[in-house]
Amino acid sequence: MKRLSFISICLVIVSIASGSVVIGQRYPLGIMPSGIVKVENGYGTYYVTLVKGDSELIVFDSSFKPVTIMDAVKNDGVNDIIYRDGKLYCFGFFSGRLVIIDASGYPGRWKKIDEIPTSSRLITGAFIDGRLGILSNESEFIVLETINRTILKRYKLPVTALTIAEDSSHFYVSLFYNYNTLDRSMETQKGLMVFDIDGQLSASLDIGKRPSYISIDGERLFLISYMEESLKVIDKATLKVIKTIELGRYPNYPVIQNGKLWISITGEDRVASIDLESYEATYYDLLGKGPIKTVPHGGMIYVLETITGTLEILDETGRFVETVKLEGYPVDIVFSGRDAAVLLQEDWKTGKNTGAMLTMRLN
Amino acid sequence: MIQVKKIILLVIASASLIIFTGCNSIFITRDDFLLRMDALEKKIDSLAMEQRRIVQLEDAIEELTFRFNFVQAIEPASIGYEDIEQLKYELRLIKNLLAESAIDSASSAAIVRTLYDKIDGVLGSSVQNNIVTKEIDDLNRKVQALETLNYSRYTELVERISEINSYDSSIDDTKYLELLTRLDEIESQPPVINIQETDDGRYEELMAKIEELASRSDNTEIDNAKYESLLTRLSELERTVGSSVIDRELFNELVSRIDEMDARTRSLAENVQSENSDDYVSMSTFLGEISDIRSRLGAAAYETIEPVSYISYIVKSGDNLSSIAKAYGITMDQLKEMNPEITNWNLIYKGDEIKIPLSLDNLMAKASLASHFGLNLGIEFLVDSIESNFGSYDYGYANPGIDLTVPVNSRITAFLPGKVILSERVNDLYGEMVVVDHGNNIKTVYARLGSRTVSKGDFVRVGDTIGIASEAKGNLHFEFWKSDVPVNPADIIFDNAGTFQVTMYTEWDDGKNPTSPSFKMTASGNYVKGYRTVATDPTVIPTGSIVYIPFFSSSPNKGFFVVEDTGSSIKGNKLDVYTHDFNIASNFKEELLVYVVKKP
Repeated sequence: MKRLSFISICLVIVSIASGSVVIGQRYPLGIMPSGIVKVENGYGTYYVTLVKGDSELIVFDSSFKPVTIMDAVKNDGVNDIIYRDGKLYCFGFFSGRLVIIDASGYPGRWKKIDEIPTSSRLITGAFIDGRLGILSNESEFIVLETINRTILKRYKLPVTALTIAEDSSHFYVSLFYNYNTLDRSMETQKGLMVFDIDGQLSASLDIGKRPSYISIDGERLFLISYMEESLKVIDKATLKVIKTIELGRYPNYPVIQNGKLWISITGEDRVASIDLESYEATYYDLLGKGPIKTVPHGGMIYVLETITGTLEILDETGRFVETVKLEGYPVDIVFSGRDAAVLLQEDWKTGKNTGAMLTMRLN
Repeated sequence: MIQVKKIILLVIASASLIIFTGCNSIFITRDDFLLRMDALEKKIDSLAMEQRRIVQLEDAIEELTFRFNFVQAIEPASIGYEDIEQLKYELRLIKNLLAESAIDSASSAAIVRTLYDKIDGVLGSSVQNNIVTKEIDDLNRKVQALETLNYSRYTELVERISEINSYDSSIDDTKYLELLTRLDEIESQPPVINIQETDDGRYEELMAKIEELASRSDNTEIDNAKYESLLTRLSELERTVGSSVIDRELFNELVSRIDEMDARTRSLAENVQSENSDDYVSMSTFLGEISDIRSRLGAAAYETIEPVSYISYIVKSGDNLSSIAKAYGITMDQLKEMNPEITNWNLIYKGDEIKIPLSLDNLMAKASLASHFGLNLGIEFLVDSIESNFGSYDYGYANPGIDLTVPVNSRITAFLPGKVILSERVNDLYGEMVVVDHGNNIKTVYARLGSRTVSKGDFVRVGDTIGIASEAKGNLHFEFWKSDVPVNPADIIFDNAGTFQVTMYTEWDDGKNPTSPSFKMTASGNYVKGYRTVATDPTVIPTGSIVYIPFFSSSPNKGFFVVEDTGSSIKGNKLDVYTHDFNIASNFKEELLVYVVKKP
């Protein structure tokens, strides 16, 4: 009898504690927040949100409470940020400047320490040993030495590229605009270009229409072909395509975790999970619509859905667990212990043309 | 003895261990114990997860129940009834399974999804079919109203001439001859359709349509019923139109709209037979279409307001000239000057026409009307202050007016001069209501007032208080009627920009990608937003303008959009609406009425 009572009490306690996701605060951010970057320094862990429309950085602490707003890049029209070695590198699209922020201290003391003009509208970049490979809207690949502020190389690409990835010795650039959708013709056959650390072209590959996201895992490179709706697995050494996996319309934001590559197939309302060893693809149909990003965490799979404005949670076998109404257009999610924060580009609850950071407790 | 005590203590300790740890053996190892606790925790986790799943399924079932109620509330046609019964049965089945916890989450999600699809199917066929029939009924009534409007002018003239004939002494020969000439002119005016003279072409066109409908090979009961209904409606329409002198342009437009309806019913019939649900006309599209048609009919009636320099007031029981003059803010001399045909000013009769020397055009200047209702023309203000727009289905039927929320205790004032013909509490929906007749077949309705300050028979001038606003949301319901046709208040407040070819686009069009700096960015440098951003040809509607599209009246933005974008294919009277949903965008193409609320 006592055992039964004991179990019942445990059951009640666990049931209460493990209720569904509890929505927390909704912090208004500004126009078009686009992504969250994790910053770890000697003072703690922080999450930096780039609000593109306002060109501001809003910093949250590890419990997702807002700490500070940085408007030092207000006039730069920052398109993307990356964090490396205690510094935030901000790519100015309007100003053409690379703005460097010292983020080594407490966020309240973060400050702009350098601005490097490039005379090109900067899109994004990647780091190898203090050298920054940058893509510009003027179809350039720029290699910048950040310590002595010198542009080492300015390589003219055939078309504008949107994605760059790096390993220890090379930059990998995918030429997104290699296909013209208006006249339905190839601007260039090239799709992937490989540069060494000095910005010299090492190799290039004809890979199909609109190559997009690049993920690197050891000696393999995973490239999403946006208009061919497939994933191409490429051997880095030989640049040969090992495997092509069909995905579906609008494959977005690949995430590698625990030997699997997760891809949200926005136009098909499903998620693909690709085993990195066998290349076996498993597809999970969703109840929501317009999945844009899938992130596994703590044995669960979290899927952000833009059309229905929901967060759909699956268990590790892909079975439906729960749907959380976000009332907004989600683009990114981060986790910190039992807390999570979802970045909304549009906040449907307020009806205003601004985004929000929505915090939640995962039980 | 000590040994015995030790043994007793050991037994008690062992028993305690068994009771408080859940071990059923004193020889159980710590690892076994932890293993069992782990298993127990997993079971508890599993139970907790099941509980959450059940709560979600209960939510889903609640929503399903809501949908059933919705379907039933709008009286679905027989086509969908069996489907609904089947759905009800499946719903009961799921409830039973839930009670027995006999289904797993994956299969339950699949079942719920299938049910949603089925409900959408039912909504997409039977209800819409029902709406088509109802709307054709409504169209027919509107056509008759318009016909009556035209025909009544003729009969009114005949009556007045008869009256004049009976007062031979009070009319001179010249006037009499002039009226006779006008009557002859009207009688000799060729009708738009002459049943006897089939060479006009339009009668043949209608007959051809009827024959086409009749000869269509319909295998299903649904189609037969639908086409018989259409046949009847078209026959009635043909009779009505054929005997009237209805405006040619309006007639052509109505025929064209019926063509569209016909095409839609044909499409629906095809969809019912096929399993391709992608081509379904959604419920919202259909309701939007109806809002658009209502606005067009209202706009057509509104256009019949003649650009004359006076208001035609028909004398009602209890009126006298001084009260009429006072109501319209004019002097008796001005009134006499405008009505030289009235010789005895002490003797006016019910039904007499009095010309009021005021221009309706001036009285209904759009800018002053917007401010009369306290409307700031900013999009956020409009969306917030308009609770329900003309033609929206917020109350389960097409709103014939507009519902605004104005500050509590605001004075609600007449926006045109006229006579109060009704002042009473009507029902729960309209509440305290005042109806004012302004002359020229124009009536306005002010409803849901907190209190009324006028009585039936009172004259009101522009700005006179007729009631006080209550605390409720949507505390001012306003309707504008012209010749018994409800006019979209947008017509009297905003500029009618005409018909546009409206399509939809998404951020994903042309193979765009979220990594692009231009993703979701518009030509104006703003970022797109659902229910806000539209693209136009800037030479037709400039960027920065606010537009109102009645088709979207039931949407969260109440039909208001901001022109923020352009498009290479958006030229002339074309308008592209941004949406998140590419499934909607790919199927959407409509000819819709568009109003310009404000230009930058």
